[in-house]
Amino acid sequence: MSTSHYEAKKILCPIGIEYQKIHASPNDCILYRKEFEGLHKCPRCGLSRYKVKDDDREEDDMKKGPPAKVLWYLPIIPRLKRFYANVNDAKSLTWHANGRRCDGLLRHVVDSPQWKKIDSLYSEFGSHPRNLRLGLATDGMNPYSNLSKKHSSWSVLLFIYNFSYWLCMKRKYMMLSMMILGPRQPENDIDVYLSPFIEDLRLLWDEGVEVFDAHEKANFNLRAMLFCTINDFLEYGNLSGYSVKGHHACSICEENTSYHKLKYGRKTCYIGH
Amino acid sequence: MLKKAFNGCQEDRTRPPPLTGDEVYNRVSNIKVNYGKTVKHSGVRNIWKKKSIFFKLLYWSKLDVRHCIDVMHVEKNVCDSIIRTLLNIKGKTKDGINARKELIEMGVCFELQPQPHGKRTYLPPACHTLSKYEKISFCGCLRGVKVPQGSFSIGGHWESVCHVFDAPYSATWR
Repeated sequence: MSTSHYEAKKILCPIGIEYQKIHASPNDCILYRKEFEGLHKCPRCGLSRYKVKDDDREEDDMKKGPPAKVLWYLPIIPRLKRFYANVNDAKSLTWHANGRRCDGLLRHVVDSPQWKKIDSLYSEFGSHPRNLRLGLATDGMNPYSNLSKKHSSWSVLLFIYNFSYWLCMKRKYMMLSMMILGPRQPENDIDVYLSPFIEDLRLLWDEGVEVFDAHEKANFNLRAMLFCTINDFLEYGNLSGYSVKGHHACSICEENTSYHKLKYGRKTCYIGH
Repeated sequence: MLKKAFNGCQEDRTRPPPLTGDEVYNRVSNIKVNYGKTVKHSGVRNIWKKKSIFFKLLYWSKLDVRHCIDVMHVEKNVCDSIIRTLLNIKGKTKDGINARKELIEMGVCFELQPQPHGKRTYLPPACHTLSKYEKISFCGCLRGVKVPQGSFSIGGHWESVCHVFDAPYSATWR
């Protein structure tokens, strides 16, 4: 872990870990990419793409300046390619098929019924052990510690479940794939920010990417899928689209959720869960 | 015994079966939302707020478990609440005058309901109320917990201690 920004850049630039800074509307309406690439104002809410100072009267004419909200996207495909370019990593990426003990005990996601279901549903995907299954976790964090309590930046982390259980949660093999800056958390609009990531995932699922495997010394077509997401309960509501607040907070019971409104505590509690 | 501790009724409802991916997809497929904080929401209230972007992945609705909840995170919060209630930390305890008034409202646990004594109100001690010496021995017990990292202090490894403490409870939720 490098101590300064300068050192971090010095390490990252020669390796070529690329990143994209995608500008976003401060109200989370759109990302300035594709058809919105050249705009200077958000077409939905009309706010400027750039930071507006209080004394700046000519808000409409702003064509440059520091952006109001930025999404840092670290594209996943080159990073997956880099895993396969390393001999040891390329070998341990097939651990789930080759190096695992199969005794029916539940140790890893590999042993879950969902893994086997995917193998049988998409047999073409499941038959190649080099295809990846990814996990996604998001949570808010405050980069300024307690200095500014209202600030909330959101990070999106990726894990590769092909690794063995002693590797897949190691810091080295976790990938930070997205950093949503900004004083406000995206809440339900997190889908807007996830869209470049989902496009990459669709490419990885529909067609696949040509990747060199250093262990087998051959090129192959890499495909990947998103296996599950891991969150706390509130973020689960944001990602799944279910409302986890109020009277119907249980996503299994839906309208039949048994709830009780406390008169003095002024909270809703869910008796019978 | 547990039945008597609450209202004396037996709970015989069972859990409904969880929704499958396709059922969820049918519920959300017609929902159209415009993203953004300034957008006024339409008058129709729906418990499903949006069609999640993950449904753009073709296999998403075929998965059994799409979202997992971070157990360590939940464990920490539950453990915080239990310990704060046990040690009766002011402002953080869940057992206060409002909770006891609620008992009157619901008509359960008559022996725990608050009793007015002139200007003051008396809250009868509950089964989890600890005396000063019990609190000291409880903290002493936590102090001696060895967490996986081999550390003796609680400070840096609170979540591991929570895990030790919650293990009997968390086994039932999983």
